[in-house]
Amino acid sequence: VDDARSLLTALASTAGVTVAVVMDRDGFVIDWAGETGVDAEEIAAVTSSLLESSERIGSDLGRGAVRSVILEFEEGAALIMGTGGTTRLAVVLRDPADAAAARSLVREGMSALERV
Amino acid sequence: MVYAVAVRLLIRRLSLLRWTAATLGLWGIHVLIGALADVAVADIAPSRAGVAATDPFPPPAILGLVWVPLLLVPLRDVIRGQSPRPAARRSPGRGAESGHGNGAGPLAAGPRVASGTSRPGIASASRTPAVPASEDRQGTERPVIRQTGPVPRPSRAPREPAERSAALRSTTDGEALTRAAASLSPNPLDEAVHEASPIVMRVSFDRVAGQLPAEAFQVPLARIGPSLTEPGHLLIPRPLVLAQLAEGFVRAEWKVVAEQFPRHMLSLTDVEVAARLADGHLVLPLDELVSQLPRDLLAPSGPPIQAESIESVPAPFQPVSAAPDEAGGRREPAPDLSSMGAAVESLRSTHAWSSPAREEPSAEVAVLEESEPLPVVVGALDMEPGSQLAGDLAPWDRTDTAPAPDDAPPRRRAKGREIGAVVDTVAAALAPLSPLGVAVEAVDDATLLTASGPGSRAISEAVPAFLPLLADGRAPWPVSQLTMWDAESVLILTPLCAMRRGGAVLVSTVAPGRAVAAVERLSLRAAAAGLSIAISPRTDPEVAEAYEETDLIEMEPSTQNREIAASLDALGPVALSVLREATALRDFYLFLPPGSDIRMTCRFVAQLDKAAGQRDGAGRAFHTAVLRCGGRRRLIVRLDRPAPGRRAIVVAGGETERAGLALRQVEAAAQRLGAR
Repeated sequence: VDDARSLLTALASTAGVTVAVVMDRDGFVIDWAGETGVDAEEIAAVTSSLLESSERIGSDLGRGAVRSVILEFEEGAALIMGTGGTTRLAVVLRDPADAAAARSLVREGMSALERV
Repeated sequence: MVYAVAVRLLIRRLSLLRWTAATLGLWGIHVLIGALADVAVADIAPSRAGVAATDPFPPPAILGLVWVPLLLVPLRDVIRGQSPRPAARRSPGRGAESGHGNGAGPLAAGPRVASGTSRPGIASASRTPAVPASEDRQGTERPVIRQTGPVPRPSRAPREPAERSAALRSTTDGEALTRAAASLSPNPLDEAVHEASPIVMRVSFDRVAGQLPAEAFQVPLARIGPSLTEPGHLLIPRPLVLAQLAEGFVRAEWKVVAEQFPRHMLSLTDVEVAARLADGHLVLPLDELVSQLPRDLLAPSGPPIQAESIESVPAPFQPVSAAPDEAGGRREPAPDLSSMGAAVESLRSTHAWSSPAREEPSAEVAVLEESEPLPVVVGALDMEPGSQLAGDLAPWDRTDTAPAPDDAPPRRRAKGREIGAVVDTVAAALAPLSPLGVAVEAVDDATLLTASGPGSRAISEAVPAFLPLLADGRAPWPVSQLTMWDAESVLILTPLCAMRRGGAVLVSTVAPGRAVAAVERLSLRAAAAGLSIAISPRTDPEVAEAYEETDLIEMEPSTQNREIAASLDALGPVALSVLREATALRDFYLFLPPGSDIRMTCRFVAQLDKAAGQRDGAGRAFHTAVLRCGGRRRLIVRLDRPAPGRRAIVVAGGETERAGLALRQVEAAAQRLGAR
């Protein structure tokens, strides 16, 4: 995985992944890949807002920047990753059990995300 | 003969027939008493052995003559042919005591107005302490209650107590309800509105059914409603409601409503049902009750609230516009909060945005207008959409400074309930952002609903300059949202209605990098959910002609320009145009979908650039504007001011699913073109 597009494609083809979205710090979509009919803009806006709130918590606790947030729902999960740059990544999964594989893949491509 | 005289003396204005009948009746009773007395004396006499036989004392004839005429007192009304006098005919003092003090009657435990305890007045009269019944009986001044507006069920109640009682019986079928209402009629708060509104109020049975124990009925609760005295509703005496209204909730004991339920459907006794109710009461839906009250009953009767001191409240609880206006006094001072209703919907039209040509009739236009001082209200605007309270806000009543042409279509005035509902919806929609408050203010012809999220800096003073750009026909595409960036803030303007000579705009401010996209979407959602004002067509060619014409010269794009155009793939296919403005030293680089009106776009961007440059006197200016034009279409404008001299303004538009990427590409294009 050497660029953001490749990372998104790899994530979208991972079992259990519905959609993967790269967005900027404002929550606007930079790129996305996944199932058709998914509102990537909504995912980007919502998850970016959540990550921003989480970063404030990390700051208040003196624990630095947020690396990732995992949300487990009754019917799926969402993995939100911050990067050292100006981008963020959100991955929506059908099953929380699939989060591990997606997370591993994201870590491999983190450097590509930071270059976006 | 004696009885005939007695009847005549005690009961005046009696017909001959009734006089005769009464005399004969009394005589008959006299004979009956005399006979019974003789029998009693005869029975007693043998047992009185040893006692001298004497005439009975008192003699039966004397007994009849003394006692029989006394029957005329209770039978007076019967002999007259009238019904016995109701309890309400008593003096107010007695009525109040007997109706409330002794706990008798179905409503005795409800309104305790006459118990002598001081309680607040009703609803808006909360500043006016309620007058205890004991004081009221002595003629103490009552709360002012006016009745001028329509009432839910207008009925002219009779003035005479007997007639009033009859009216009560005709209003409700429940005998207990009638008795209770009649006994409470002396309620001082009630009397003022008695003549114009019904004595009973209705609440939907479905709203209270959940409080009833299901085991109390032999049939499912769903089948109870249609079988009530008034199907689907419970009837509540209005005095009971008025007495509790100031407390913010209204309850009723089971015995108030018990007789409205078919007895054959009950499986428990009244005592058992009452014991199973929470705290022995049914809590009634306040919104339904309030909506049935005469509107003036809720109008403030005291002096207006003095709100000047609110400016001394420290941040962040300060009104948004409480700070002195540095831009020339377009803001108005903090308003009288008592006029909140009018404030919410007020607008001024001293600065018309458009030429008279824009007033041509084309569609229904929502007119937002008001002549009162500009209001600023910050805080909880807790109005339920569609509620009577919200609907009772004063409508716009003002004459236009610029009269509409004779052939103009009738304008639909935006009612207070519409704006109130929008405010309510906006506040709910923005709740995830934890805004400090939704402020409502009027600027020029527009109502601004301002929500500032945490960490944002108030930049709403910049808003008025952008409002004309949101008007119909100004932009090449209809504008559903305008987002402006400067180095420290992001200003998001979301029209809540068609913008012509005014309108309502949601103004949100956030810090860059702090969920701008989320705020944009929430604002659009609020606009969509709260929108109740018709959207009029945006196509208005004359508006474009009314713009200041810009002297534009079309230039030949360079190779670099074409390379840049090719790099803007996030916006779909775009055509490059370069126009030079001879007088203002601006070059416009337009990357727009093929077929776009580039000159109209340039005129709009010129106005936008002018508005963005007027940011403030501290050197801050907006550098980027993004117009969301419905769906995924966006128009991105870079308005950088890197140095004095000729400037390059980059304009790119199209449909995109990657708004963030489009922004970055336009930013890069501006850098390559020397705009940054």
